[in-house]
Amino acid sequence: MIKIESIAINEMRGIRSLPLTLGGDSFVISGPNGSGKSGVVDAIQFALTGEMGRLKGAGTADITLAAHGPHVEKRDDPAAASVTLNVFIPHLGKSASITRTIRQARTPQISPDDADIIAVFADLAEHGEVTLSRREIIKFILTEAAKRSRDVQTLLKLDAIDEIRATLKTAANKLDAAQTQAKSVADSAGDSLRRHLDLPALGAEDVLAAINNRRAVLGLTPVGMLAKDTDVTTGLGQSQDGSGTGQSKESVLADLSGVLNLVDAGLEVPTSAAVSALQKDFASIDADPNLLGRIKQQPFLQEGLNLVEGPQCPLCDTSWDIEVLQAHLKEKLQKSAQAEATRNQIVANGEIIAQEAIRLREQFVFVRKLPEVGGVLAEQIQMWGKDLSSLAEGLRSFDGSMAARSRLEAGWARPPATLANDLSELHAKVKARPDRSATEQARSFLVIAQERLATLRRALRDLEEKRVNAARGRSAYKAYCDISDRALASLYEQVEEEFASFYRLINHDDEGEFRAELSPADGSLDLRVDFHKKGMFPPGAYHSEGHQDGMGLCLYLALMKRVLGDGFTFAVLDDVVMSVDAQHRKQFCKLLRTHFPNTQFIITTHDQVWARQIRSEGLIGAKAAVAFHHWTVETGPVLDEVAEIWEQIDADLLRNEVPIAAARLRRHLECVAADLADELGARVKFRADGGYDMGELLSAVIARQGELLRKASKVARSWGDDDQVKNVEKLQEARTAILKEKGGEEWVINKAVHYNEWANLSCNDFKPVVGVFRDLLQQFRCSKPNCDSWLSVTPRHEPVDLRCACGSLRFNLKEK
Amino acid sequence: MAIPRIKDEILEQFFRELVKTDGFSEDRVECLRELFKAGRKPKAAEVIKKLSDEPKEGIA
Repeated sequence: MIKIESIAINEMRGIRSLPLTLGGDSFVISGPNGSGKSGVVDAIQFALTGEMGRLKGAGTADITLAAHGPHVEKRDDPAAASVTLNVFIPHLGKSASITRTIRQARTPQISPDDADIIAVFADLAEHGEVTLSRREIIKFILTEAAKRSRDVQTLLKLDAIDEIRATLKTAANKLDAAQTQAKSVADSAGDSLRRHLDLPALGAEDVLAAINNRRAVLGLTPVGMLAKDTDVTTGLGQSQDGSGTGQSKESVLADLSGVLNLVDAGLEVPTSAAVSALQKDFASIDADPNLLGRIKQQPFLQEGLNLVEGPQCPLCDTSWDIEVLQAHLKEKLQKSAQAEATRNQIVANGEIIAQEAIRLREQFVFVRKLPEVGGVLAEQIQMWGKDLSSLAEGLRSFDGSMAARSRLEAGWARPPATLANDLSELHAKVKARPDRSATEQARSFLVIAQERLATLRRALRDLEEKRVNAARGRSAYKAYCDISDRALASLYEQVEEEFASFYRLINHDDEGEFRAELSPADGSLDLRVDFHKKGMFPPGAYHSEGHQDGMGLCLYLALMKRVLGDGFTFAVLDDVVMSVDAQHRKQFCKLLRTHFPNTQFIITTHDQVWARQIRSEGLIGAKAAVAFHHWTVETGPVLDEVAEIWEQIDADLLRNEVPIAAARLRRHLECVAADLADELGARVKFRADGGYDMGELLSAVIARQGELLRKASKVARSWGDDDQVKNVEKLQEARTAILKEKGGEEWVINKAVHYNEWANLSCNDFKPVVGVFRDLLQQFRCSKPNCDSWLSVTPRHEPVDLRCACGSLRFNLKEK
Repeated sequence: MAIPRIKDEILEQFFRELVKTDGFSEDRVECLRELFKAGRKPKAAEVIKKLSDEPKEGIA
């Protein structure tokens, strides 16, 4: 991945011209809402991906990058809207730049023209997740399991895994269905042969016996065994009497008895369960007026999703971002899950009835070919067969099943009204046929047996092919599921532990034993979290909004660490911790600093306190920040590089602007006094409204500093650590000198309390005030430029350590 | 950039597993591998074709 050295944004969104120098380090952009911070995030995202997340998704149907990406004054000049990132690519050890204009969003200019560098930017273009807003973070936490699974999989670029799984499942299901159909055909062929042989079941010995009985009548050698190519008519010679038509008296009587039994038993009995299930589903549709609409929409959405191959909607040609359009359709499909289940049930049960209808049709085909059948019955049977075919065809679709509803409820078979009587009469007529000679009967028997045996063999061979194919489909699906489940379970297990450990770090004071469970199952990803050891609950159940924000961040960081590993060198966090309280934000800084030391974080915030904390906690260097004061449409963001406060005050005094310097010093002291009171655990009288006076806070901080240094000295002596004793004494001496030189603590406090008078001081009178506070505050911070953080105690209750962020200033507070 | 392609790793394991599975010749697995090669999103009908034997012809 990359680290950003500098950014140049021109005429993009709310920005006219903005150069920023980041130097590859973490960086903070602060400013009130509407000051243009997010314009920087948009520009970075655009430079890397050619897209802007803010212009996509719900509610942006009328907004396009081409029309609304440029600054409003340049909306007709998309070539003027550009962003350039100068980056360093650590794993290549190379510097590079990428420039995109809105006009040619898909074709960035990358320099140098190096295949490795181009590949890095191509990969980054697929990783829009390196820019993250609160909206995206919270979706990992407060969402249903199936959607979380999709979001996480999208973040991890794993959504293709589910697509492949779905494709293999569809293939396996269709191969299974083909096997079922082949079995039905084979069963029917087997029945036909069994009836002809007049056997209760097709056992090999019984079949051979039936065959050989007739062969014996004809003086033919018996068939020894039924092999796959055995011809039971061997030796029979050519038929002289047309008896190979399947219409011998005995065979016809057996077939007629078969269909009469069917009629007597009830033609619809085999499908009664399917009909009942359909009636239940029809009732569900009646009960929910919207269900039918969702069912009808579902295949349309699925087909639409399959057809989305370009940036245009396949239906209305409206331009969409392809990923957004796909996500939109997937979300709608997910919402119609119940509709899909109902639809599938109806189609499945319709298929059962359709198959039975076809079987029925086939079983009656022979009837109309009998010479005894009159024209009327023959026509009725033919019409009935057509009707059953038509019914079966309709039942194979949802709409057809719905259309057949009344017929299904009233009785779907609808045979000719006098069928039972007609068949009985027919049976009697055939029975009245003159008996043929035993040899004629035997010949005819063998010919028909051979015909039906051949049909059965074909059907069995087809069934075997379908069985093998179906088994292969199931094996492939199962193998893929097993492998992907194992891979994902392992991935989620690692993410789960890392997520929990990050969260514990942020919330060690109140949730030091926090646990989490990420459970993947059937395309969903369930997240349960511990709540104060009272059990495992959904994250939104009991945790506050701030804690949920923290969870979202921790899950994001854990996921990114797993996906990118050492390649996670860069991320943009766009106002992501607005609900996290101050104490936990400090820990969040610590998490980023200690667990992601090689990641460049670009953090935007509207909260000045948070921006200051990020610096005081050592996450960024002293000058790695920019503050946007306000924004105008003509100028874009109006900003200050964040210079050292004392440099700013000195500059004010050089211009003899004492009131400005005084106001600046006052604001700084107010903030720092509060920060230090917090960092050191200074004791102040509690105020429910939090309205602490600056003098009161400073007094408590100075007193606490003296107390902690005394404790550090005592502890160092208890351990016999002479070097540390000397270090502490040095600090104590410096502290005493500063305070004494200026008349003691009271002078400082007095000045702090009466800051209203500062503005009226002359420049020369105010300079000593500035000097004493500068020297005083320097006592509380690390002098190393890369650290520059305040001293703080850890843990907050009963501290054992007084230290700066980098650890170069560190005092043990735990006695031997 | 060494971004782990988990999907590709899963597919590779899948094909290795298929070769060891009854009913999957190396040729068939190669055909499937070709079907799922990078960037392709095969339809179920294409997969069915690759998973199916050619129908055998012949007289019973």
